[in-house]
Amino acid sequence: MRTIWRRIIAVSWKEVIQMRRDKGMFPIVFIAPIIQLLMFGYAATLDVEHLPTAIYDQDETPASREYIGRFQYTRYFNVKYRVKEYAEVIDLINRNRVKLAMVIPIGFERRIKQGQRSPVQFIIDGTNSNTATIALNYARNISQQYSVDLLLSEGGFLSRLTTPSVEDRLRVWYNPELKSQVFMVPGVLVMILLIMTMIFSGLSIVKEKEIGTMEQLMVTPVRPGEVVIGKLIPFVVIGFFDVALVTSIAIFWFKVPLRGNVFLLFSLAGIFIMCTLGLGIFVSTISRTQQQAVLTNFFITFPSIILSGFMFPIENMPQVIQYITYLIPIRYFLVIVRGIFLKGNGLDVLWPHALVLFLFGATLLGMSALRFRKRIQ
Amino acid sequence: MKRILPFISKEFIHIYRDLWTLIMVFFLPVFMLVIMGSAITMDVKNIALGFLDLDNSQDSREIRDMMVSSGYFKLKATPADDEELARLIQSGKMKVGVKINHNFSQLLKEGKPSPVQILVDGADSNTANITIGYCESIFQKFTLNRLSSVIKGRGVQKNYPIPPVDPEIRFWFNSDLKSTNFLVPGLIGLIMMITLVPLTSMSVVREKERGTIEGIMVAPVSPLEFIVGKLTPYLFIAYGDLLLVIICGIFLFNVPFRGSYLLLFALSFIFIICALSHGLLISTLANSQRIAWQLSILTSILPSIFLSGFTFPIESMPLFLQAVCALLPVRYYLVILQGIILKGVGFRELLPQTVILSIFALILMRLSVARFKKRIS
Repeated sequence: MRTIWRRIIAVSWKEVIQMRRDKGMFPIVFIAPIIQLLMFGYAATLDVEHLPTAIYDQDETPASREYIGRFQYTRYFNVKYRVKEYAEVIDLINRNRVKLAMVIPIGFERRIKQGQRSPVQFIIDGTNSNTATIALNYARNISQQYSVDLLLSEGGFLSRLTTPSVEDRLRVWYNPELKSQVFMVPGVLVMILLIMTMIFSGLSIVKEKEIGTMEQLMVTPVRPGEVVIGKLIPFVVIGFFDVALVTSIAIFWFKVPLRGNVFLLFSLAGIFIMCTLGLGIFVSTISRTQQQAVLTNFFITFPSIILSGFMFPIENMPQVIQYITYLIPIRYFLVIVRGIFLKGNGLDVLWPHALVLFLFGATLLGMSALRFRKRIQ
Repeated sequence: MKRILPFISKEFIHIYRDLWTLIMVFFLPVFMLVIMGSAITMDVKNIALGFLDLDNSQDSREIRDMMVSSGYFKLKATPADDEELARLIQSGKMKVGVKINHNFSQLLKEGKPSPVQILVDGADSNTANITIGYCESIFQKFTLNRLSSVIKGRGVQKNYPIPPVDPEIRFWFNSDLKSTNFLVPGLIGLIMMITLVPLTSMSVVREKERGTIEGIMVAPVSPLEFIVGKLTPYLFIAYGDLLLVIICGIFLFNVPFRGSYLLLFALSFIFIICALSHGLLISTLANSQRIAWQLSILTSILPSIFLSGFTFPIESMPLFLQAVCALLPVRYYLVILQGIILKGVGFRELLPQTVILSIFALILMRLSVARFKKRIS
């Protein structure tokens, strides 16, 4: 047993020496998580703020100005242009200068006073359907609120407090300020483990094949299984290091609450690493060159990330696709990560996810180890 | 030219021999489009709703029916008390809970504001935001109905339409708000990045890794000829992928193509030069393919997902990140792609983007070629 470990450690040490020679390897271990945190923490928000807006007020009455004011003083819209012609509206949208244009027709105030329906035209650039939907919701709600206030004053009520109205008392759980960072940043753990333990480790195996040093390793007394384990250990260490780094930055910089148990997080990350290593070895057995390995990895990681609920909620996907998402290990790990971070869940809630993840990990690791041995012989 | 041609054909032979890579390079875009196109619907529908009705009056049922018939909510549970409501949210079975108090309709009858409690799972801030917006909109509508009937009851002669101010919202360029319509241009940018940056930088670094680059350098070809020979095949692959995504978008997802194909192909050339130079620049920084790949992920692929305006609106990002976005060629290319494909605009509207992209192409090309020459000699 001791000799086995000696051989494994020898292979790991060889891998570490190669990493040290590989200029850029160690900076990457730090830089990769930080760049990802920047993007997920600051860029990955689907919420719409400061949407560039153009206004064409044909009415120019106190009522129309008040209506416009409702839009101006929100964080959602940024009124960049006041135009005097319809052609300008079209031009601004075509040139991508504004995403939303509001046209208030002549007679806006007169119609309100006469108790007629008073239409306002909104033109929204639908290119990004998500932005457009959210902008639509904001515009509609602001407009409805204006209508409510209008009826209040027309009806001669003193204030909202003396009128029959429904008031919402809002309570938001887990993320009271509704910051997207709180949702996105813990997910970086998944990304970084995918890159470090799945793709990097796989590439380092394929590299030996590509350069032809794999044969040399195979004629040494080291057995194939030991080569794989030895080569993977440094990447697992890097993976855990990056988990710690990302977790600390998430807590201390992004102020994401860690309500659950850190040790649980790390141990379940270990189970997830079984899955990623299994996939990494599998890819290395079907790729001859590193280019191939990278492309094959795209085929696995891309749908995994898209369908895991990382950025796009699974509930919104078509039913058939929702069934497919059960086959994606990241899905379970994401529930675990977000559960531990945001909801403070323990194993009593998370055990089904942990169990499925473990089954995936054991199967993937076992199958790809078998495949690797067969390939070598 | 005579000396470059054999080089180009050498690289073509390399790629052709590696048939698996070639298949993947052309299959990947189709695969990505199908996955994203069928999985991503950004509009939030069928939000799991729990409705705790302590009042059980006509008014409370009206609120419930309005929520369900809006299509945004799906009634998943009718809990009997607060505890059950809380449990349903904790277990994730329900994303939003609405609680109506005993005196809900009593207060309305007395002409007073009547509070309704909304409890939202805020972990996914985007979905939560949209959910809150929908709730508010429905409560506003309910209030408007109430107000108008009260006004009528007071003998006001005018008959107020509901709502008095009526936003007419039109979506341009994508009137059905189909997510595939914005996925296609975004995916073109992403796919171009994937085929151009990591694959080219890896193919140059591979020669370093194997030591074949010295052999080429003593051959009677200049570094520039080497570069042109090495990169030309990828230019063709990029155009192939571009065509493939457009064809699939049109035939599989009925995405419109409103502008000029010729213009798109011409302007794409400028972007391809940027991306190829980017790949070459990385190859001068990295000694191993894995580092080249990692640098490509961090500087080209992730930014083209996160910072290009493809999935997340740039206007909502913090200013420092908007400044970073301004330095990314893919951001301008995306405006061009969306402009030509969805808006059908011509060269005149896209002139600013074209100029900026050309400047980037010139700078990146000069920089990377200079660095490459220095490294070689």
